[in-house]
Amino acid sequence: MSFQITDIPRILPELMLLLLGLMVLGSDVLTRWGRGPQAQLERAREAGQLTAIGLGLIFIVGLVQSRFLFTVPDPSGGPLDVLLTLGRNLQAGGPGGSPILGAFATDEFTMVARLTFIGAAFLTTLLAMGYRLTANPGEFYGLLIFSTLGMSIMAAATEFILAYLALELSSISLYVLAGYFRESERSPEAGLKYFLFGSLSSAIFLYGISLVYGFVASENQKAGGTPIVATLFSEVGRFATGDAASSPLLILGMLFVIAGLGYKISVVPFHTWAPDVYQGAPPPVTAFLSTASKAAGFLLLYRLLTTAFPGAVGTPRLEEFSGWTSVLAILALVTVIVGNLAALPQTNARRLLAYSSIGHAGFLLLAALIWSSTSPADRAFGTAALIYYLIVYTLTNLGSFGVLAVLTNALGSDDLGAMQGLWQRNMVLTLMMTILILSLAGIPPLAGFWAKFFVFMAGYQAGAVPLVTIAVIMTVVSLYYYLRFLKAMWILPAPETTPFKTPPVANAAIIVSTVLVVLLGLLPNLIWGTISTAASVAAR
Amino acid sequence: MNWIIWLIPAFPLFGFVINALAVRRERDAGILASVMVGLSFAATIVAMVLLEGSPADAKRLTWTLWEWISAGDFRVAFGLLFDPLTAVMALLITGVGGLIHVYSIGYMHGDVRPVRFFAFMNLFVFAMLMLVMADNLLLLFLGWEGVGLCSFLLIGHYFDRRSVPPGINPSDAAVKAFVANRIGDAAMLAALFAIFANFGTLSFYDNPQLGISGYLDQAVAIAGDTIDLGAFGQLPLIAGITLLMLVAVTGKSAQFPLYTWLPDAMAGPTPVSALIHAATMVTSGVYLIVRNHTLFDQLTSAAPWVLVIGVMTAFIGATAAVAQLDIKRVLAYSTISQLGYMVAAVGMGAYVAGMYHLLTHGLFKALLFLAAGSVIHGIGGHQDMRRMGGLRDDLPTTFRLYVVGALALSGIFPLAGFWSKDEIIAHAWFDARSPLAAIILILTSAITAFYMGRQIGMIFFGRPRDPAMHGHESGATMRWPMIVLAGGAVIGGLINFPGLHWLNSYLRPVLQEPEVVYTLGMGVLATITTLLSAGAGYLGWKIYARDLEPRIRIGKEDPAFRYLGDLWRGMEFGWGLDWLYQRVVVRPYRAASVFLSQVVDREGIDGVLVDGTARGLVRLARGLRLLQSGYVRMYALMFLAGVIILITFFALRG
Repeated sequence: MSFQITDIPRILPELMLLLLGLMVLGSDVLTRWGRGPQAQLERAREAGQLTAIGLGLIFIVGLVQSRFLFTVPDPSGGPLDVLLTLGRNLQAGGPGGSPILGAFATDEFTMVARLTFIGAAFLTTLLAMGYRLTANPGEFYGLLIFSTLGMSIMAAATEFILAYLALELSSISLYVLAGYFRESERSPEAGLKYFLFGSLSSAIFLYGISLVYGFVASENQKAGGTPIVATLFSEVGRFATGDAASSPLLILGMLFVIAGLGYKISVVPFHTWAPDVYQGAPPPVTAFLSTASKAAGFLLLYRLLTTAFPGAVGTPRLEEFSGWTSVLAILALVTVIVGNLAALPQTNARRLLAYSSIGHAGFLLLAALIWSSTSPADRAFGTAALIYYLIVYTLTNLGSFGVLAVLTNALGSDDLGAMQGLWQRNMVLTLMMTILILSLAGIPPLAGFWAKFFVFMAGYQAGAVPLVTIAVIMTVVSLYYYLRFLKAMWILPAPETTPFKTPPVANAAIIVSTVLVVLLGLLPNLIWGTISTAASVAAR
Repeated sequence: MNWIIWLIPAFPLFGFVINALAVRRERDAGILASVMVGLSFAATIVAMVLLEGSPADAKRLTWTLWEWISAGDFRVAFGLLFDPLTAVMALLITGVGGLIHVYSIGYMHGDVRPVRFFAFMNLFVFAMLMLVMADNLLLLFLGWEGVGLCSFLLIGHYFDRRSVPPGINPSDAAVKAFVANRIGDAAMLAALFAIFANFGTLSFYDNPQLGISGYLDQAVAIAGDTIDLGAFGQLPLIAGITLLMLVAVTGKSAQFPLYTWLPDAMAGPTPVSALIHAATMVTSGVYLIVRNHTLFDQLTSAAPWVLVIGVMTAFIGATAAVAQLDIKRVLAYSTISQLGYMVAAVGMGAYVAGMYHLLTHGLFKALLFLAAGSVIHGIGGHQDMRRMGGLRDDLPTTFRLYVVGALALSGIFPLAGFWSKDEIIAHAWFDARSPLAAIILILTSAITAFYMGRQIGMIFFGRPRDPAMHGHESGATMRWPMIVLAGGAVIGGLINFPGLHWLNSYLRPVLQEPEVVYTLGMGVLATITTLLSAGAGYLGWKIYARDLEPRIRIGKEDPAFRYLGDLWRGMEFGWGLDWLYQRVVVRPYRAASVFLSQVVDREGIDGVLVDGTARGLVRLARGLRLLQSGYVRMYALMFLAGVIILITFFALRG
């Protein structure tokens, strides 16, 4: 197990992200910009364009590499041979092979995750380009890219130290991004809160890792070996079987790991930072934070739990509390209830969506519960449901937070009251928001419906019937606050009726995500097949 | 070539679809609708020619489009059937229907929504054809509901008006018709269930194509079966089914006691009244009985409910028609009365006579309605006969046609009504041996002539009572259909002329009814009836055109009210059935509805359950909001508390 030169194409997208981040930073810092507002605008535009083009390229590279769309044929002596050879070499680094150094898996799971994050970052960049950025745009976009890099590695990591480093890379970038609007009141507060809370979680996470280390070392010693330090997930998984799986040391470590990652996915009771930060951070950052960041947390948690603690899987049935599926079941229960209920009295649109996204985290947890089944098909279904939900949720929330970003920019407020009579002022935006909100509420035939359907199905098959029942009831509750958006936009009288324009780039991002939401709702099989492949790999 | 029969309903359906989706102009809609019905008529003729060529022991064309429903034992074909009985019905529907469509082009000119009108007329023709062409009861029921729906839609044609003459709210009238029909339909469904439960099929005859057996051939086999009604004893199975069907008939064919919707149905445009509420839809009950005659055959002698209902309806309808002041309401009650004749005929087992009267009545009642429409159209939309008077000079053609229709309806020799009506009366007297029924029917015939005489007297004779009114004759598109129908009303009796009895022979493969042997007694009876009718008709004319004419005033009581008083009032209000329903059914029902909606639903379910839950959740949500204080220390505390709680769980349970 050593790093080989052929491993480089396998991490090519990550390397490209790194390079792009440095380029964006460098081109901004090394250029001598004028002081005037025009120059500042130009500066922001340039950084944004470079980021968008770069991310788009990396997305394409990742897509080709993943072999999801097509397999490049062998060079056959034609004029396109150079391209074909390039493509072959790229796809040689595609899904498959054992993890690099045991720590970095490049399976379909990673590929799907990578594409999701890069796509989300791309759309976020478009949103940010339509938003007024005041200072240091290179910093902003650079941090966005580094954060994406961190997330990519998070989803690929199969080793504790790498996972932790990736987590920190993505989180620290996001702390800065959340506090990016230094002159605003809420933004620095959001950044600071996020940072404090993140540090606490990191500490807990590290504590958990060290407990797991201790567990492995002592188990190895018990078996007659030396007290080694095993940091790979799979090695931990090898020890954590049978009776050893219920060792208090391991359970404690596992709980701390879950809690440490729980903040990233903002499940109750580790969610408390989310509403404040979502409301305070710059709107495009909120969009990114609530989607890619959360998805990365989920994927890491999922991979970690399933490979490091397969022996402690337990059962999601609450009456026989055991293993991590029980923990997730409890967290899911509390999360769907608190997330959806707390959303009811909110008056700020972003805060409302923050609580809604907490509720969604609860729904997402349902998909993981099915791991308690031993059948690979069941597990694959659960994994597929999770990934599908994550992708759909990422698209929908990016779109809806994007709309809120546009509104904040144009109206200077993101209260629900400011959205009244929106249809008179910007019909396209209202229509998009309506579709996105309906998808969030899970109304067929939009993608959100299938996402919910699949996770409920997975939860039901896992045997967590009461939990699924409560989740379904909470879906009904959620309809109430989602409909408040529609009521505000369509029914309530507009305080003023002057139309306003959506910045074209932001509009593009919103329309792309909306169209995808509709498309994936009408044809869920479009990505379900790919996801199922990824899921069955992950479920092995 | 059997496939040609599905073209018959396909044309009107096509016309409906095109009219509903594509056509925007009044003229196009009218022409398209008329042409489609005309094509359907042509297809019917072709099918009849084909039917002639089929073997004598199997006079039946069938065509199964697909297997409609197949669920275990429950198999229903989407199959069409064309036998002599269907043929005469289809001929009436498409023939008279086509004429009425042409007439409507003129009548509906300048209407607010003519395209809707023609689309629904075509839909009606389609549904009616499905009703008579279905090869099983379920498909028949589809048509049965379809015609009900079209009737509802067309009665409510002026749904945006609060009131149309004579003071009916069109949407109320439409709902009333629908609800009254619904009662019959519920019984019809129950009959369907009973038939399927006992025969295991809903097909009329064997369907060799799909291997579905028919229930009509098995009717005799289960004649002795009974239904256990628990405390109410035993009911013969056949009696149960036929009774349910009879209820269905009283709804659809406007028989006592469900007929009250038909007079109000006159709120629709006059062509609708002519086609749906006189010539075709209301006769579907008669068709249903004739189609299921093998079931009813088991019944007639023991339990003459059908006859009783028919005779009662005939008499009540005729008396009520006498006292009406609205030109169309007279004809509506007259239709009820004539339907009573038909039902009475089929109730006696005189199926051919019933069908005979159905056909001739379809001709002359359509003529009368169209002529009434011509009058209404000619004088600018008035329907109150007190406003008319002396119109024979302004509307000469209409006057003559009206007289022809009235004479045919009154059963005056030698017009169509005479032959068909007297056959029923003769059957009642000689074959059914029910002199009481016969006498009531003869009396009814006289009353019929009386109210027709009264109507002609009031409309066309006397002085013009409204000086502001100037009538004008209708255009050619309206005149010619009436002239054709008038020809039918004159010579329509030929189709079953004594001695020729074409209809009897034609329907024999279906009905197996022997030819009527005509005796001298019959001739005497017919002569008496005709003389009585002629006298009553003259009396009606003389009273209203001469003797009491000066006392008819716009907006005042009918002069006869002075002499008959409350009896007249009873006739005027259709013997108070509406009044009774209003008090016994409608008002308590409304009160219960209000209670359920205001108290149970709004206060109970909505207030306590729904709003209560919502309020509870909102209160809970406010509590949760307090936890979100904004202080990081508080958040950290919750975080750690969460971890500790999780650990505690494990410590306690694990």
